[in-house]
Amino acid sequence: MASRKSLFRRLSLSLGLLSTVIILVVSTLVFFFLSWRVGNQMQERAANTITFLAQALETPFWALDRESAAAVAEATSMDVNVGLLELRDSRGEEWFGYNTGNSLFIIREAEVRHDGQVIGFIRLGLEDSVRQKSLAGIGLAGGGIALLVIIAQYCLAKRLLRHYFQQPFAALDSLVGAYARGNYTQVDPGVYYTEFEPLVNAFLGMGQTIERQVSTLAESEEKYRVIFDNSPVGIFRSTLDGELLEGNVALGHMFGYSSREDFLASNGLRVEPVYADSSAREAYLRELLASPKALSREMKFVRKDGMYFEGVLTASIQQDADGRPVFLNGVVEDVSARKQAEERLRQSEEKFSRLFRLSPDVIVVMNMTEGRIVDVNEAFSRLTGFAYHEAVGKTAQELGLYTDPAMREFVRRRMQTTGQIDNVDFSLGCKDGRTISCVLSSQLLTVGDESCVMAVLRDVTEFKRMQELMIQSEKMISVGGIAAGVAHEINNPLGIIMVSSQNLVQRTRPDFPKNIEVAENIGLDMNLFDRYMQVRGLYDFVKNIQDAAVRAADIIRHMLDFSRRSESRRTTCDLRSVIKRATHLAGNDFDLKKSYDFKQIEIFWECDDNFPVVSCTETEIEQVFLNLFRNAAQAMASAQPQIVEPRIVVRMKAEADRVVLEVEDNGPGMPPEVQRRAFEPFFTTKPPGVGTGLGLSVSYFIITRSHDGQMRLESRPGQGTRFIIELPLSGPGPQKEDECIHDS
Amino acid sequence: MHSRLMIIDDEEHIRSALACFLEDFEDFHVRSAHSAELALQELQREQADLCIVDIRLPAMNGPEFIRVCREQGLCRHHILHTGSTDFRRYVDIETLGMCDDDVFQKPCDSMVMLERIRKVLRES
Repeated sequence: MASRKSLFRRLSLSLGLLSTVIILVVSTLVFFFLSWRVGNQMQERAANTITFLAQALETPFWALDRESAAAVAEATSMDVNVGLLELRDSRGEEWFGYNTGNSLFIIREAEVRHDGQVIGFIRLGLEDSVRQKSLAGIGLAGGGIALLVIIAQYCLAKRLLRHYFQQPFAALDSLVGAYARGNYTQVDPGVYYTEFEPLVNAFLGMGQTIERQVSTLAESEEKYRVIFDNSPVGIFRSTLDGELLEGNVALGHMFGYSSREDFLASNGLRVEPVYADSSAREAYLRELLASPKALSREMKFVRKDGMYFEGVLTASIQQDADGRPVFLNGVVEDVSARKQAEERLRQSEEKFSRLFRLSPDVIVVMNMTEGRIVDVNEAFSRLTGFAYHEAVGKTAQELGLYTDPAMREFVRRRMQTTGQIDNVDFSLGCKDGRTISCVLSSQLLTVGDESCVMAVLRDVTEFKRMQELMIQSEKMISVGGIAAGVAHEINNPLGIIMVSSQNLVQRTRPDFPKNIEVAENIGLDMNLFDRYMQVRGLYDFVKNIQDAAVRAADIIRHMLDFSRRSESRRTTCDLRSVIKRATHLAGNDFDLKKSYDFKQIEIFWECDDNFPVVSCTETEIEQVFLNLFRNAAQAMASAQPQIVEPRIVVRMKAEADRVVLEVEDNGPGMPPEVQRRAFEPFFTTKPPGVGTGLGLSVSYFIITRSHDGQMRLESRPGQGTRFIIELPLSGPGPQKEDECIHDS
Repeated sequence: MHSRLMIIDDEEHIRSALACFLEDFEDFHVRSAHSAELALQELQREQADLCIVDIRLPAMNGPEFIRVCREQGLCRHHILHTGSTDFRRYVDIETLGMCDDDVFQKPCDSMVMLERIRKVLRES
């Protein structure tokens, strides 16, 4: 920058020059006036002097007294001003002459007269040097004064200018400087001169205006910045050729960057890498250039970590002043969460629709207004026998689902009042006329815009049976518990009975040496005593006592079986040989009192190939099957009318995690009340002494408690009975033996 | 030579009936006691060849009695005669130096017990 000239200096200098000129002019005028005055004074003096000399010399000239005249002239020439003095008489003879030789300023000549007669001549010359000296003095003094005045004036002017101009300007300068620094809140700079007032006011006003505008701008900017920063969608601005100019925090996060700066600094500010498909951007831009409005497109983007996400890009083109497309402004929204939600919803819908279709519980949807069936699931068709197309459009009443008309009324009323039914026992009518015990729960449901009832029916037949079995099991466990407690107390008296009755037998024996000895001592004929005993049947009584004690002991032992878990004497068993052994044992069990002959019964075997070995306690399983065979044989033997071809079918089926064993007879079957109580301890249908009522209970106990299996029976009066035993499979591996025995 | 038997049972009728049964055979000398403590006193006076011991007794129980007998050398052979069915839960007969054949559960056949007694005594 070229050096600027200082106004202040100029002004000071100009004022100095001006005053110098004025002072010089004035001084010159004064000088000339003074020199004029000095000239005048000298001429006057010359005139006065010559006049004086003319008068003073009249007498000497008259008297021709030369000496006096010379004395006067001498005295006059003493004056320093006098440079020339000549006295001459009328004839021109020089009486006196004085000449310094210096240049003369004034030369005067006068005649000395006496009575009008010229008697002499005087010539006087005044020297110029004195006048010049005084003029030089005046000039020097005037010049000095003028110089002083000029200097004083220059200094004063400079000082005043500084005071009146430089300071106000500096203040204004600092004001403007503060504005330049962005500080608009300035107070009055303290310049109190009227001339500056408008300027100061103008500056202050300008500052306020700028401040107002700046803060408005800042507010506006802040407002949009907040929107920009906090927007959940990514906002960006880029050039058409792909240079990223601006992007907000959300945009950064969306693409996996921790901060906006990080994002903006990445990729060398290029946008191409964020498109999963590099041609997608060009295609979009082509579309956008052809479109007058902003366009939204779903696109796949790439995150920083390389992961893809679905986004919706909405952008518009910004043109420059000449109408050329330059910038691309827009937003990107991450819709992967929404897409996932949609997918989840779809999966959920599918899940629930599958749940509905495949639910093991019967689900029926009916409309509220008419009670017409809108939808049923597969379990419905399976359980009731009505196919989907048979059920939909009909009412429950038309299908005969209600076996109890009062129930229909109850359901309708309950749904209208409370809108909900929870676990109500319901008897479901089927297509083939059967009824199934169910539990009904139902709720209101809106399908489309129609109010519907969704009824869920659970088949509780199995559950009820399980419940009965559970009760049974509980009963037996309690029997077992009691048995363990009382066994000791009963066994002791039984022991007394047993030993005492054995003593009776022993001490009545006629061949026992000690008896003979004692009898002889008291004179008793032992043979006669023996006869008496026989005749009176006393031996039988004793035998009965013994039998009864043994039977009682047996009962106690069976009862104790409930309280005992088999003591891990489990082995992997070939169940078929175990069951086969049980048939042999049953065959040897021919008993007149029990009045059956097992050998008359034909046994059929139906056995799956590769029937596996099962971990169990052989003796217990044997006991269970022996029980079942005995029961079957006894039941068939006691049947009226007699069964022509009594037979027992033994089925052995292998399933994924268990084996199912069945023993089925073609005996008289069991009425329902007997079925219910069959496993109950001490429940028996056999005559007293034949059965204890413990066989099936103990069997049940062995299967369920000792072997973690299940045991149940199916029977129809007149058609036989089937016992079904399920045992869990623990040891895998198919049985190695070749084939099952059929029709053995 | 009589074999000396000792019956320990708190049930009087068992005790007496069993004693009667065994006394009928000439080769046994039978004593009985209703508690283990009393039996020990009696055995200290005169040892026995075999004791028939109930498990549940008023103070000292049967297995404990057998152990003491063994330690003090009062009797070498023992037979358990018990009315309880679950004794195996708390009595380990093998540590008592016995086997299953030495255990008789009431009510039992006295003749079987007799056979076992004879066998044990014969073997010793």
